[in-house]
Formats: sequence, C-alpha cells, structure tokens
Amino acid sequence: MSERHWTIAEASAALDRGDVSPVDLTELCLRRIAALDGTLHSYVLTLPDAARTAARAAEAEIRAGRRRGPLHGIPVALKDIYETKGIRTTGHSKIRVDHVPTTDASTVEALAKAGTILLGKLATHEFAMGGPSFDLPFPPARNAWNPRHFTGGSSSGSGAAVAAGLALGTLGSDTGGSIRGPSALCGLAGLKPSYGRVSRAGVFPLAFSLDHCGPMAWTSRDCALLLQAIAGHDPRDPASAAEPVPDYAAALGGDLKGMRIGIPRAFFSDDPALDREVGAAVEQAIKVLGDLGAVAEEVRLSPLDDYHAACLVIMLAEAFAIHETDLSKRWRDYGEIFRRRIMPGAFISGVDYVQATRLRRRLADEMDRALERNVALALPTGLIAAPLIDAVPGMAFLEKAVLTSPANVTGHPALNVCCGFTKAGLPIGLQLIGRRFDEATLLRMGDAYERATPWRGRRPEL
Amino acid sequence: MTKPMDGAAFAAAARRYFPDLTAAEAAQLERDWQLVARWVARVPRDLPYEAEPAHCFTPDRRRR
Repeated sequence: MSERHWTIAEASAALDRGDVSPVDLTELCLRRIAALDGTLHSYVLTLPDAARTAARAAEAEIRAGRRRGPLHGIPVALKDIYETKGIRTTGHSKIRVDHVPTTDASTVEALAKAGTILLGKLATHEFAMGGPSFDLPFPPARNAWNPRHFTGGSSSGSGAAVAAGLALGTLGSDTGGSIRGPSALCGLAGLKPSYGRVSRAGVFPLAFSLDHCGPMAWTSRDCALLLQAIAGHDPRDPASAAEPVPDYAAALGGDLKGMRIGIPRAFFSDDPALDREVGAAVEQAIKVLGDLGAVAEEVRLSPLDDYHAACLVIMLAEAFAIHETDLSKRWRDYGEIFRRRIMPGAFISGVDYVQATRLRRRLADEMDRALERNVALALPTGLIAAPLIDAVPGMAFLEKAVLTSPANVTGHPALNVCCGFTKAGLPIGLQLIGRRFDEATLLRMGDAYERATPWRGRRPEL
Repeated sequence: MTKPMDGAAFAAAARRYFPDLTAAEAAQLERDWQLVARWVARVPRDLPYEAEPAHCFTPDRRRR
C-alpha cells in the first residue's frame, strides 16, 4: 500500500492545521487493516463502527475549536489484556474468550479522555506470556517487515500494527521485555516506564511486581505524547507512584552534550548468540550517541543470569498464583506453550521466592549505583533480529537469559529505539535503561538518535 | 540450601497440582521443571541476615 504513514506527532500537527481530520486518519487505518491484517493478524477485534463514530465526534469538537490536546483525534489500539468496558477482552486465550469487562482500565480511560479513537484490540501472546502459539482462538501476529518472521512478544499485535500503519500508537505491557522485544523486532520505539509510573489497574496481570504498562509507537516523540496521557498516580493501582509527571514533549530536542552512558558490555559482547549484524548496529548506535555529545564508558554489573534468575523465579511464582485455579480445573483450555511455561511455577517454593526477592533488592541497588554516574545504560534489546515464526523455541525464555529482564527486576525505565536493519531487511533494536522516573531523559536520547539517523524514514513494503 | 526434588517427590507434587496429567504430560512437565530448576539454583541462599527482600517494591519508597 502506498498511502502515507503518519506518526502521532505529524498527524497531531496536521489536525491542528486542519490539513487532515480524525475521520481521514481513522479511515486510513481501517483501509490498511482491511487490506493487510488478513496476513498480519495484528488485531483480534476491530471496532470500525465505534471508531467512525468517535472520529466524527472528535472532528466536530476540533472544528468547534475544542481540541483537547495532541492525542485528540489520533487512532490507537490496545493489547487485548487492557480491559475495555463493553468490549470483549480475551487475553488471546480460550480461558477468557467471552469476557466482556464492565469497566475500562485506568489507562484506557486516560486515552479516551485525551480524545484518542480506539480502532480495536490487538493480538498478544496468551495472557502476555509465551508464543508464538498456533493453538489459541486467534492466530499469532506476524512481522510487517516479513510476515514469515516473528513479531516478538508478548505485545505482538502492537508491534505488527504500528509497523504496518494499522494504528498510530498502541499500549503494550512488559513483564520480561514484552514492550521492548516486539518494538525491536518490528522496528518501533517502545517504552517500559518505571515501575509505578503508569497504572496497571484493569490490565490482566502476568506477574504483579514485574508488570509494566507503556506505549509503543513509531518514534520516541510519539511515545512521549502517549506517556503524557497515561502517566501519574492512580489510586486503583496499589503500586502506583505519587511522583510528579514532567512535560515529556518539552524535554525533547537538543543534543546530548555531557550525558554519560554506561555500557554493560559483559551482558552481550562475548555471547556467542549475539548476531554479528545486531552487535555492529548497536556499537554504531553508541557511536552516534557519542557524536551527539554523550560520553560512553563501560559499566560492570552482576552477571545477566543473576537478573534473569530473579526475574524468572518471581515471574513464574506470581503468574502461577494468578492462574492456579484455572490451571487446576481447565488446564487443557490454555495453549500448550503458555501452560508448559507456567506449570513449573507450581514447584517454586516460598523460600525460593523470598530468596529471589532478596536478590532483586541487591540488583536494584546495584542498578541505582550504576545510574548515579550515568544517565542511561545502552545495550542491545535482543541478541538477534526477528527469527522465522515457525522456528521460535517455545521455551526460549526458560532456557536463556534475555537482555530485557534486568529492567523488569529493578523497575528502571527502559526504551527501545530502532538502530538499523539487517541485510535481510529486519529491524534491530537499541535499548536504553534510565534512572527511576526519568523517562524524559530516555525519550530525549531516543528522539535525538532518531533525528540523527535515517531509520525512521523506512517503512515495511506491504 | 534447598535440596532439589528427586523424581518421586516431583511426581507427588505434580499429582497434587495436576492430577489429570497423562504419563507423557507428566514427563514433559518434569523436563520443563528442570529448565526452571537451573534458575532457581542460581538464586543465592547465603545473603546476609540484613538483606531485606524487595517485599515493599513500592517505587516512590525506593527512590533515592
């Protein structure tokens, strides 16, 4: 399809000027969904009638001079673990295939209040874990850069939809890398905010103390606009932080002069699984950050396996607790990969869990110390670009540490930005981990990097 | 240090949680558990007494 791709920021400016209307943007996305989603399977539910109605209402408000803000009139979509009042929310699982919530998630309310147009609900790995699975009520999403390839997960539909222009922005969730992983494999910007920054209320949990909700969009600037709408204290979420919310868009722009960046090279540089093209792209990205004024130096942290061990033990114990009753009564209604990943959680003892949370505190303190001297850490988001969808080992997360789990264990914010492409045309992701509640600096770095490199000008050929 | 479960202990625990597993499914579960057990074993057991868990992982309290 040759129709124009819009970023949220571009569309928002055009809406301000009256060059485009919410109806135009919504119809564009719906046309693209109709044309492409039979291949990509990024949506599990589309809402064309409701979207058109909301778009017309937004258009009338904007024409009347009542534009609510930069997201008013912007078409978005939600990972299907976000509760939507009166709209089926399945978790991509047979277990909740008929579940229709009676309330919205707090973040869904916030996006509606900001005036976004909801296009539909997006594919996820079952209950935000495992995948790709071929035995669920809906097929797995496919990568817009090459539909034979994996999107990453678990926010798989979010990755595919934004890359293909089937939504301008989405909300994903991240418990061990589920925003950053698909953002990397699909070539997006994706932000896992600090733990507590964005409400989890009304989002189906995978692991309470590791779950984060956050934006996925084409650029860091777009993530800033989405984050602005959803960040802040929410009494509905017991882990929500009462931290002030800065103006994220105002933090963008300028260079990175004097900013110190730590490189935890031991996490990845000697790993034989690191793809050569990925390693080279990430090293080049670090050099670009240097050209923009940042100062890079190596940092030493505990082994990546320590972070992953804490993440996995806590995740499986918490996730098993959530699914214990359903697993005991109807475990065959779960997909094979989900249940195989989660059932071992039954055998993690109370002592194992407590020891993992003690390790977690030590690792969080260590990360805080590394970020005293540095404003961010830079590393690959993953070791490889997107593999073929039918060649993804279902138990990979249990077999090998991933580069995304440290920020879930410690609760620090982390951003993926696209830092190039393989020779096969698949995206590569750079991960930036920041200080607690300093998403603004990460977004500033991501935005500066994106403006200094050509990658945001490239879209999938579909 | 917590001792790893032997085969009999694992089978008993598996029957408790998942009484309907076939023999093949139980064997698969044990293989999957071995993947997880490796990570459980990596969690240190010898932290000092004062090493608190992150039991109050409330971020505003943790901010420096």
